[in-house]
Amino acid sequence: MGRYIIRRLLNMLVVVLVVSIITFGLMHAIPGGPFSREKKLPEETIRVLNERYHLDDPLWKQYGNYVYAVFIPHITTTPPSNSLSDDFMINVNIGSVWIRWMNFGPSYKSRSRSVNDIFRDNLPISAQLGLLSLILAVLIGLPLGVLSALKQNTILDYLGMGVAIFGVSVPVIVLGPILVWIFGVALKWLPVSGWGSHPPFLLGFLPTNFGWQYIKYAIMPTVALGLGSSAVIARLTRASLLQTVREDYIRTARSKGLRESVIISRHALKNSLIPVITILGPLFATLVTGTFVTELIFGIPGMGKYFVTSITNRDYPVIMGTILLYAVFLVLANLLVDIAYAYLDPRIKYD
Amino acid sequence: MRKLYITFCLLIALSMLLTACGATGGAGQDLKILYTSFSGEGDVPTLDPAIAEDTSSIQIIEETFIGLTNINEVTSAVEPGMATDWEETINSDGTVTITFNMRDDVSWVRWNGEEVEKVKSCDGDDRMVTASDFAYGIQRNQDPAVASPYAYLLGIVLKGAAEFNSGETSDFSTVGVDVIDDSTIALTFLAPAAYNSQIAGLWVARPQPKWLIEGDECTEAVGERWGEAEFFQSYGPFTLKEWIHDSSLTIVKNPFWPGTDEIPVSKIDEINFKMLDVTVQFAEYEAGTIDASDVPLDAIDRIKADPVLSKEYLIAPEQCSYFYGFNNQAEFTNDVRVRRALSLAVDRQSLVDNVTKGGQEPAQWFSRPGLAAAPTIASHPDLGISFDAEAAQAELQSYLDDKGITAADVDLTLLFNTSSTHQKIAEAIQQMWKDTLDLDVKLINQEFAVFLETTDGPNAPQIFRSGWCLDYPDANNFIRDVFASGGNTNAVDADGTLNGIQWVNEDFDELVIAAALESDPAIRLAMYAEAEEILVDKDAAIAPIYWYSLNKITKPYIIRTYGVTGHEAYEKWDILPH
Amino acid sequence: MTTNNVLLRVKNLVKHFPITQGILFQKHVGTVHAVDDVSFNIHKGETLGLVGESGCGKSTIGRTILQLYRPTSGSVVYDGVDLVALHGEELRKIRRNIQMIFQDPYASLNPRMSVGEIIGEPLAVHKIASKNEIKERVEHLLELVGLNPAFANRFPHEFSGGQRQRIGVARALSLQPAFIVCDEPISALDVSIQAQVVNLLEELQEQFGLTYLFIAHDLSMVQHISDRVAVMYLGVIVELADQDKLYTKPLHPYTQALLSAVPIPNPASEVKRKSIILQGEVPSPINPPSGCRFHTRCPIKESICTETRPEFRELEPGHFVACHFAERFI
Repeated sequence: MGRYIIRRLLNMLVVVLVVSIITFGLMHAIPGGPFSREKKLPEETIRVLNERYHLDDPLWKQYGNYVYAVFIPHITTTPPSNSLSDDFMINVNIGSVWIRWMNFGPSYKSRSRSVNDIFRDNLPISAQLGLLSLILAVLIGLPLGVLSALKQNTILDYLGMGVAIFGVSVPVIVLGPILVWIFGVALKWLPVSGWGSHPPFLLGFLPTNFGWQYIKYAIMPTVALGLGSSAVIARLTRASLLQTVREDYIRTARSKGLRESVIISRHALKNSLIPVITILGPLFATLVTGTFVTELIFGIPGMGKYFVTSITNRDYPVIMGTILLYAVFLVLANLLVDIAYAYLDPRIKYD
Repeated sequence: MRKLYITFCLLIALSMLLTACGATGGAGQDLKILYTSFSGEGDVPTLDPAIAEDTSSIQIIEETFIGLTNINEVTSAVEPGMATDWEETINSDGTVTITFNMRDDVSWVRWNGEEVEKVKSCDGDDRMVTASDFAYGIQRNQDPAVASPYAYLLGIVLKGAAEFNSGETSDFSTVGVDVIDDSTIALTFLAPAAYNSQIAGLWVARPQPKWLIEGDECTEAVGERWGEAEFFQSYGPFTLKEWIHDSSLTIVKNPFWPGTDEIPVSKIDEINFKMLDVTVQFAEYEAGTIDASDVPLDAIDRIKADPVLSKEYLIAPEQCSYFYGFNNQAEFTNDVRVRRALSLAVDRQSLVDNVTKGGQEPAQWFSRPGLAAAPTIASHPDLGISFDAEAAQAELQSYLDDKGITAADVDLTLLFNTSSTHQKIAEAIQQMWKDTLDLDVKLINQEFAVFLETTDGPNAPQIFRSGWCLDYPDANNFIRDVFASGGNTNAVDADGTLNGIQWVNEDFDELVIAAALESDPAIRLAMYAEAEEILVDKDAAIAPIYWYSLNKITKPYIIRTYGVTGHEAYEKWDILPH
Repeated sequence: MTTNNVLLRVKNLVKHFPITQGILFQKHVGTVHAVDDVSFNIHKGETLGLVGESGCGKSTIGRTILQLYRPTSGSVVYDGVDLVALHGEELRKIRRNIQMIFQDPYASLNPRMSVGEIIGEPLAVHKIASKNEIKERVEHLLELVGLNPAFANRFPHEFSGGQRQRIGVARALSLQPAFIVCDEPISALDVSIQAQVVNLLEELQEQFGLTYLFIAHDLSMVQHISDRVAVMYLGVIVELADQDKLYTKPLHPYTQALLSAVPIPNPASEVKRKSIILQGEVPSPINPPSGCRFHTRCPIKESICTETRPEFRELEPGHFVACHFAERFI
């Protein structure tokens, strides 16, 4: 297993490199640049800006420098400085030597921040919201799916699946403002926008306050974001469970004289979880790295908008950073899913 | 080390929890705190005057750093800022030197986590704002290594600045900035233009704390990060207290600001700016958590109908213009009759009443009235162009007869950048052209950066959407900076290739250049009026559509001014007990 | 071999599956007549073979006996108790005595459980044995079916088809049942393995005095193991007789047709034999033919066959047949 994980992590490096090449190529291929403005900047200014950010270098050199800055650990005796272009994600001090790794560069748009600053300040908030939503989605989706499957074609099933269809078909962009209107503006029970925790974070990503001050901000976005995902999980659980209960070994279990609850929990549910676990991987990566619409509607300072605005701004380092971040999360999430398979199904073995 | 860090974090968490439990009510109730919001894409990009280029950055800079001159946010008039007075001398080489006499009683300050304190020099004295700080600020703005997107503003007026910025010389003493003593600075401008003193007061020419950016014996250099809340130093009526990126920014009153007639000491203690989408912002306003908000366009009808909200709602002019540019070299639009017909056929009043709805004003010409030397509807009611269906039809018919073609043969394309607002406007105007001229104009939209690439280039489409907001409140910044040959939307490449509207009119160019140097305001106004007439009617090189307005909603207990220059002067606001 | 000691009495068993349409308001649009009025007895210690083409309802009978399907009507009396009337706990308890071996040794074992868990689970559920006893029992059972007791910790996918079916048998035996429904236990296995499993079942029957209902889709499979054989066609039993009688003197044209298709090891007699090839397809159980179900394909069909359903009569002692003209073959 250990060797398998190491091999997968090495594969991940390759995947991330390939993703970085494609992203780099695409973002330079689309027309317009980071300094396109409605108020056109003078050519001289653009030349100066390009020079500063080394955008006047040939593309292969720019990419080479990027790979060097991001992927290759730097070993140096100079301590970290306050410079935006010298901001590494990982800085380890051993005696007089610094090992520094992953410099994603400065943002062209937010000129006071580096991409690592954005990761440090915004990613934890997206991750908190994403994890809460994922937990909510599982807590709602799984029981709903099981209930619907067990009471197939009864009113409970229709009710459960009705909720699920509602969850899928009413997007956050509709549900969000409705929630805000009811609970934020009309009833004033919950804050309209914002997030209850700000940098610096505990261990880099955990909120420093868990009380009502935190929860009250989290409730609406978590529900708005989690409901859609819970619907997906519910439908998948239902379909998968319905298929599993028709398996011969469920009949075997029944013929053993097991209680129905034992048959479902011991024999059916665990076997039907595999497809659910499979989608939890990409769902995790998507939710945790930030969701544009939800964060916009609830005014949450997360990562989500950078996936969109970095592209409209042609903010190259932020584009690269966000895409690579997503790629890493996706690959890691899928690795976790694969490891989970091995626990769920003894037929799957890695070596 | 790691363990220590974790323990530290836990302690912080614990203390935060305890303070959160303890601090319910109590202290701070008598503080006047204003809650408002920035609209737009999120975080304030920077607080560094040298590199700032967007409204939210400049807003905070305006409140924390004061320029040599100050532009009144309501009247757009130039008034004393850090300089109490200034005098102009015309030099023998045609350049003009303005000598500014500065206040010497303004100290640099910072928020130390508890309160605003004066910044001390290494000798323990207060660090006062000096002429050298201004010189350093201008130098940073022009430094090619800093790469300011707005370096050109000073570049077009300040002697030697463009050469320094392009790296032709690295000797800053060649630039027309002379520190005479701590409270006297002389700036030398290329020509005696009316707007020299305006540009000298803009954010691109503000002091910056050299000791903080580059370090000195008693200060650690923090470089580009000096704009962060933990380092920030300023001297204006406010200074930065807290900046939670992408979420909120708080400025706090600077009690050491001496207060002047133009820039008083703030009555408000703190201003908290959230960074919210305009819809969210308005929801917060309705929930009562922010005091002043922008207004989403789709809420305007509801606000107007609401007895409470309608009283809190105000439309103020905003110094921006919305227009359609014509490619003056492209097929069909290369004939002035077609361009004029298209422009005459746009019913601007109907457009602002039924489509944009935000209180915009139909534009008869380009420069937004209210700018220095720009014509106004009151002074020039018949200037420019406005909706006239019959005249439009006559113009087009004359063209069609000439060419021996019909309206169906006229193949036109309108390009705009992808956005629902631009889409609605384009569709409405497309319909007007159909109804009045029987022309079928194709609509195309492109993603913003792609759109800019297309419209800025030599292959600009026949008709394209564009807009312009002020950098400095003078007609020159509109009509000349945008449309004179080589201007923003009429650029000319080094090899002579025309871009943008691709319009050549030497009379117009000569007129706007002369107007810039004219010292008599009445003659200047007449010259710009004549230039507008050429631009929008005689040549109909563009079709002005509307002048922008601000849609603001403010709680009744807020006393405020409405800034037309793109930013507010919060030091003039107040909060009544409520 | 036949005694009057009846262990299981199936009487007028009917199992219909409704076909519905619509989501919220379900409309009944048809019925699958899977089992239609079937009666037979199984005696203690015997093996009753149940043969029929796939889809004829034979597996449904097996599952209905175990109450895995609830019958539409009729009764299943096991050892004097009508299983149809039982519910919940009572039913679960009596299931200890009636077990089933399934056709597909791959699908019928939970892939997530080790062999020990699969075999031991019923013991734990019915609280028959302690943890240690269960372990011993599992090892004993594995040995009994010819597997290495050390395999208890392995998972089903690590075994071959024949081994898996042995696991299935061990699982069925774990509760020491008196009656086992073997639902095509050898159909999915290689021919070489089939005999091994059949022999195992016979040995166990001898050792524990088990009673089997042995379901198969082909007469040759049940010949060896069965004491009596019942032939099913489209939801009804058409013929039931002692094994030797049925194979030597079949009285129903369908049985005759089936037998004519069974390969005979002796090529000489194979040549002489007249093969009866049935015409047409098996009709749909949703809309079964009127009268005799077999009339659409019967070589000796007459008009009465389309109108009147033939009685399932005891033409000779212990030899039941449902054909109007069975006398012709005596």
